[in-house]
Amino acid sequence: MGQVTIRGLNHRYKTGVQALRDVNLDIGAGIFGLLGPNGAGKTTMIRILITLLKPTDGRVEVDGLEIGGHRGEIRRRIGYLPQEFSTFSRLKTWEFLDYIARLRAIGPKSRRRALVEKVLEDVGLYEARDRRAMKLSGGMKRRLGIAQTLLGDPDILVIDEPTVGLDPEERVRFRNLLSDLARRDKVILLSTHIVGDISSTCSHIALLREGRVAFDGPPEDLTARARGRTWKTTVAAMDLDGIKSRYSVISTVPSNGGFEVRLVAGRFDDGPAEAVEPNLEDAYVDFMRSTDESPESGSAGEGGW
Amino acid sequence: MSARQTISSVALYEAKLLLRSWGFRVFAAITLAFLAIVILLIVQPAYAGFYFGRALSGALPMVVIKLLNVFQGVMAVFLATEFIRRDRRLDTVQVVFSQSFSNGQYIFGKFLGLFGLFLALDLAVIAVTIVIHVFFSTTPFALSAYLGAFALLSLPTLVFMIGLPVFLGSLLRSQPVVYLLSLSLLFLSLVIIGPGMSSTFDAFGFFIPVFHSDFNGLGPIGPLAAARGMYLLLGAALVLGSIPLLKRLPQKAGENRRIGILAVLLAAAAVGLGAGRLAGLAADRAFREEIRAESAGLINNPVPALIACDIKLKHEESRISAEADLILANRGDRPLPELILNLNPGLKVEGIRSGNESVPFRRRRHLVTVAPAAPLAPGTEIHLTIAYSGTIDERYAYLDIEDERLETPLKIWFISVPRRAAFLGRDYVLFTPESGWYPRPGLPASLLFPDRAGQEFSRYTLSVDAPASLTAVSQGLSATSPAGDRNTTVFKPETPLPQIALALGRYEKMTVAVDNVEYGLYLLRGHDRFTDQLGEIAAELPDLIRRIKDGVEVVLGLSYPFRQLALVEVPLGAAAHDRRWTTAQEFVQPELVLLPEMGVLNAGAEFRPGRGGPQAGQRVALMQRGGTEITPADIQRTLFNRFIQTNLLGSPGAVFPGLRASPFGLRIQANVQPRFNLLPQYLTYAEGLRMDEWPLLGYALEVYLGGRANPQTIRGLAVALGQGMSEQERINAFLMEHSLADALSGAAQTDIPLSAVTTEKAKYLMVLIRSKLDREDFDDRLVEFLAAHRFTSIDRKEWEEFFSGLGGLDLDGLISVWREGRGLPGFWIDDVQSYPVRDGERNRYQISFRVTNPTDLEGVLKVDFVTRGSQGMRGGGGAAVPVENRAFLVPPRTVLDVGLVLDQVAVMTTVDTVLSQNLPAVFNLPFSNRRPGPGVRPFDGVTAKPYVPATRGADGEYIVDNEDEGFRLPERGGENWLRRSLQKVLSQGGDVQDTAGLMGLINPPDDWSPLITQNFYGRFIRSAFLKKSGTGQNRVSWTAELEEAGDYNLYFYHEGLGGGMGRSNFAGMNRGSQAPGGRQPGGGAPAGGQGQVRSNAPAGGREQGPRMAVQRLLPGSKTFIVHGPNGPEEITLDLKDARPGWNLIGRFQLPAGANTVELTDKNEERYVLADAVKWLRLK
Ligand SMILES: Nc1ncnc2c1ncn2[C@@H]1O[C@H](COP(=O)(O)OP(=O)(O)OP(=O)(O)O)[C@@H](O)[C@H]1O
Ligand SMILES: [Mg+2]
Repeated sequence: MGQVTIRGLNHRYKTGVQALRDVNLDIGAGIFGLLGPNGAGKTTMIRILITLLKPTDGRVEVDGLEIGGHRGEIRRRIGYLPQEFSTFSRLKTWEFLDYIARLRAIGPKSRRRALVEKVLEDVGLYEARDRRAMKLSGGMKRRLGIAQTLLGDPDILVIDEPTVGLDPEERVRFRNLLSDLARRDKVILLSTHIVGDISSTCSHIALLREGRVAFDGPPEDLTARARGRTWKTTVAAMDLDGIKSRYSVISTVPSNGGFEVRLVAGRFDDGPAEAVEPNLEDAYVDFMRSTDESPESGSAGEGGW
Repeated sequence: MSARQTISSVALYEAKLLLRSWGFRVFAAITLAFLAIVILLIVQPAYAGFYFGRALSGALPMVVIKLLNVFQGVMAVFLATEFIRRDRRLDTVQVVFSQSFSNGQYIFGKFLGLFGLFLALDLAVIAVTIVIHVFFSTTPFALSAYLGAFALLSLPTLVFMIGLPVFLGSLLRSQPVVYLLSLSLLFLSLVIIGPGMSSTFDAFGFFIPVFHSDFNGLGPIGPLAAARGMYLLLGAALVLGSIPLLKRLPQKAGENRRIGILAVLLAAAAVGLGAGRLAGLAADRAFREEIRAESAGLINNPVPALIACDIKLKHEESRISAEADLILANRGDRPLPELILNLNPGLKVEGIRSGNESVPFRRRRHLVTVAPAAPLAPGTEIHLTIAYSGTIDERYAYLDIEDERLETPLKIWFISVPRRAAFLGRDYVLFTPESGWYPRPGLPASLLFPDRAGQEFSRYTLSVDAPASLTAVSQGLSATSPAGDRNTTVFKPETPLPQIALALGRYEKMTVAVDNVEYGLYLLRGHDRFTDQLGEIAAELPDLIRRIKDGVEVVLGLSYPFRQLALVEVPLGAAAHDRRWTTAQEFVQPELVLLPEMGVLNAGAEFRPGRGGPQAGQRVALMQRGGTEITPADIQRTLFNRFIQTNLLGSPGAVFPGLRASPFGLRIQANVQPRFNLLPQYLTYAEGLRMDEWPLLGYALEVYLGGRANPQTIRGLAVALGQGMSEQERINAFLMEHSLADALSGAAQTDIPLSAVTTEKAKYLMVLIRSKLDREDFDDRLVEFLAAHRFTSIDRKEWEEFFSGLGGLDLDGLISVWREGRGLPGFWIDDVQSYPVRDGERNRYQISFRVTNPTDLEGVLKVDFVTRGSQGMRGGGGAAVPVENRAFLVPPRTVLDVGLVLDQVAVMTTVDTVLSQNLPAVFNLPFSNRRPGPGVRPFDGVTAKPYVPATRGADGEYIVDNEDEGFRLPERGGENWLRRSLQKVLSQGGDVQDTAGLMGLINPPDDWSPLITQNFYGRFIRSAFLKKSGTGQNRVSWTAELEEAGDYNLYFYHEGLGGGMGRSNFAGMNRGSQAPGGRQPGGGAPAGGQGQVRSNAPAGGREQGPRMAVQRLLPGSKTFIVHGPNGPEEITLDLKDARPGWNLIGRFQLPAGANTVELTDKNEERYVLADAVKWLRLK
């Protein structure tokens, strides 16, 4: 089970910023990637979902429960990792987890102990269990944050920018962890602007832009849209700047005498280029770029050229 | 999930987090350390000033808990900021906030966590205190004192002080704002509005009068619980109120509203309690006002005389029921259709009978108006039996005392004890006449004065039926007969009395009978630490008492009129106020002296030698002198004598000032001046002065005759030390502008206690009468007259006969001038000489001096002599007794040459300028011990000549004193404002400099502060400015307008303190001249007649104080900056060999016009004094 339904969600901050505009989403079991540039409204949406923020308008249901009227129930079902997670600096790692476990009504003490130790192991923090939070590295803090969401085995995990500051090894581990969880029929909402994080694991993604859902569907759909628009070419060092200014360059890799450049564009006119199979990142950049040029282009999915 | 689990989890981690914060740790450590030091200071008998802490079971808990409360308040400020810092980091809290619990659970958990932690801290402190109290001190211990103080003071403060930051933390995001808000609340409550308004705004319970007494516990709990409950409720309201304010969406809809309403209700209840308290205060005042208003019309109603009063009283827990048999007589010349009696309004009159007939009566508030079957005819008597029962309404007492004064609790350090006019409880009862506990004819004196004054004597008996565990004390020797678990105690005083009182409690009674008088000591069971302390002299006690008594009575000329004299320990809160018609406070009742708990308000009640510190045993060694071994018995005898002298026979001012200094620069002293003087036993309660026309004459008589038994020589010593000067100064300032009539009518607003003004005026009146009559035997005749009229009422006619027998006096005229006159005379006294003379065949001693009264007002002088023959210490350790005293009338603008011939060498001569501008008003005469030329004849008398003022600067001499306009202090900085504010909280708000006096030299003030002693230069006011030595940056200056340019010698006035002073003439009684030197012919008489004057007051261990003090009083040097034509010149003068009087700074060529000399605060010793500077033109 696990189903989140968002209908006509709007949020406007007191400062006047319209952070969400008419968002409609259905989030089911599995990993749901929420993509979007900085300031797109991802965090806002998440905070609404976890009942820390009251939406200006719209309806959000979790497992058929309207979140405004069932905050206790919703809070119980969701594990949340905030974007800039930090813990009480004077608490030891295990104490923080113990605190959260207590608040999740995990008892008795022996069970709580065992559980805390387990999640500590899951995130590779067991060795640091007696360390004060202020003596953890950035990545360790992040891991502690993830560990915390796992306590009490919530049905829904909401994770805002999970991999910031994690080393590649840990990142992989985290991905695997998520995949495991996803297999257990959990809803995992992953917000990020690092496409690579979700490309391999997400069954569904939504693209937020300026508070709107610009795309909503399986990642393959997005990739498909960039097919034939992703190019690889080699340019001389002196031409690189020109290319960069005219095209959305995904990556540049120095190669003998020049650079091998990967870019997305409808056409490539500046010399020979090889069309390549797009990945999610290419598709994301292409999508953002193209809709940028035609802001009117309505809902994601069928909009195109 | 269960709410309890959430709450406990939040609480647990909140406490954990706080406990791990350095702010808390450091603070807790400071708190514990500070409190431990305070406790040890109190418990260790090193500071006599802390005796109250060692003696009272309630003191230590109160001190500790009050301090703890303040610490908690400061901590709360830290907390507030701590929260905000923590909660502002949203992301941390977000994880917590996204968990499933209600906001209420969260806030409550948070509150509980903090509360628990502070509670633990409190309990730890209290536990430590209790351990020290029980195991390391001899202080009586009562657990209920701790519990009571904790429940009433700590708990509400705790809830409030935690609620506040939790609330502010939820409401505000800005750390500085919260910081500021909490701090200002702290400050407001502790400094500004906390102390007043009936402690309504005293959030910390710092000022609220509450004290555990072993007599009656905490007293009535209701009002206290309301006052403190207010903060409990407010704290709870704040905690609840922060729930809806929490920056988190509520778990359930409607939750916030319900909680919000509850919070508002609680807050309203708190406000209600506060308003109720204020309203209650207003209602009490209104009640008193009503009684006064209702009585106003009755003041001149004819009143029957009370012939006899027999009271049967039954103690029923916190009520009494009683029956009073009164015999009333009509002494007037008209029949009395109604008999007006007064009785405390809390007592219900159940019925009045005359014989077997029931008599109709009206009861209205305090009045019982009885209408006998037939009007009471002149010369006849009526017998009334009045049955009444109920409680005592304490508002009825002290109707003449201003509300503010009445509402001011007794304060000792920062302990605040509610003052009670009467006690009526299960375990303790104390009724003094002021409470109106038995019916008396007419109105109480508090409502009659000043329209009517005087008292009558009646025959009293009292029978008290009380539980057998309680012992009754009253006037007359008692006989007790048991009946089951109750006793009936009957008192039958042998003499007529003006009033009776009753104390009933778990007393231990000790008696000694000496020469037909039974001396009793009634101490609360468990409070007797005194018999041990005086164990060595138990056997000689009768003899000691006899000697002391004889000493007093010889001086006074009157004998003790009663068969009993009992010292009765009463609760610390027992109220007593100065009254305008008598010197007796409620503490002194006929035959009884009521001493507040453990003698805490008495001087020397700890019966420890010297200034604390070493134990008595070690003291013995120190006190060995001249090879004579001083035994413990000697010490105890001295302490006993000293206690009796200072408390029962002397004045509180006789306490050596050093004893009052305490650590932290605080003065530990009660804010009341209790009087236990026995004089009223001889006068007030034995002489019936009926003088409606001269209502203050009785008071004047008491003050005057009291002065005989309690001579000015003692006061002289205190004054020489510069004590109590600021009050004298204020009294003088007041009397310069106002008359006594102004003061009595309340027309002139002043914060000086009226009694201080009336006392001065009263003394003046008698000295004036005496000097006008010019009879040396005046005192003796007066005493004879009084003795002949004991226990009867003396009326105006008898007084007038007495005065006409002494040569006649227009008493009416004199008294009216005295009542209405304004302004004060002033004197210069100089040319003081003393030498032996031959008077025929006898060797006698001549004393002569000159008095100048340059003012337009007549004045009087009183001179007391202590001669060698009388010098012996009274009973081994008391004050010197003046054998002789003279009074002189000094007419306006007159110079008197006064000569006195004594049979003995005067070892001390004290001049009392009575009421004058002189400050100090009382001083010891310095002597120039001159060998007389041959053929000098003794001169006993006065020659007068008119006073001719000298013109200023005429002889090229310019003197600028610190009192003059040419003197300048540097601008005062405000940097010590906070320190002063805090000092205000911790001290009694009094002027610290006041009592410090010359002792201030040891611990000089940070800023230039005035000091008055006779050693300084001055016209009428002999003062100087004192400051702690500094860098030399801080300067005062003297400026004179010189008329001519030329060569000038520049002098400064040296007070002669410190260095050259001998131990015995501490405070420099070796002054050269009392008058402004050089202004009077013959001024500047040779200075420093050393060694003749011996103060004999410091006995035994006391000497230690001054001697050590002297070493610390060295004057060091003075650095002047003289501004001459060649620019400023710095001159440093060593004062080691400077003689008292004018000392040369140097010779300067100075221009005409304004010339300035500066004095810097640079000195290697502790203090700098700035007095006077003189320019003398050289011809
Ligand atoms: N508390 C707030 N008050 C006012 N405006 C806010 C607040 N939080 C966010 N915003 C604004 O709302 C918009 C959406 O912000 P949001 O944090 O949801 O973006 P985001 O997609 O999470 O971005 P990022 O990837 O940088 O985290 C932004 O323009 C931001 O400035
Ligand atoms: Mg974000």
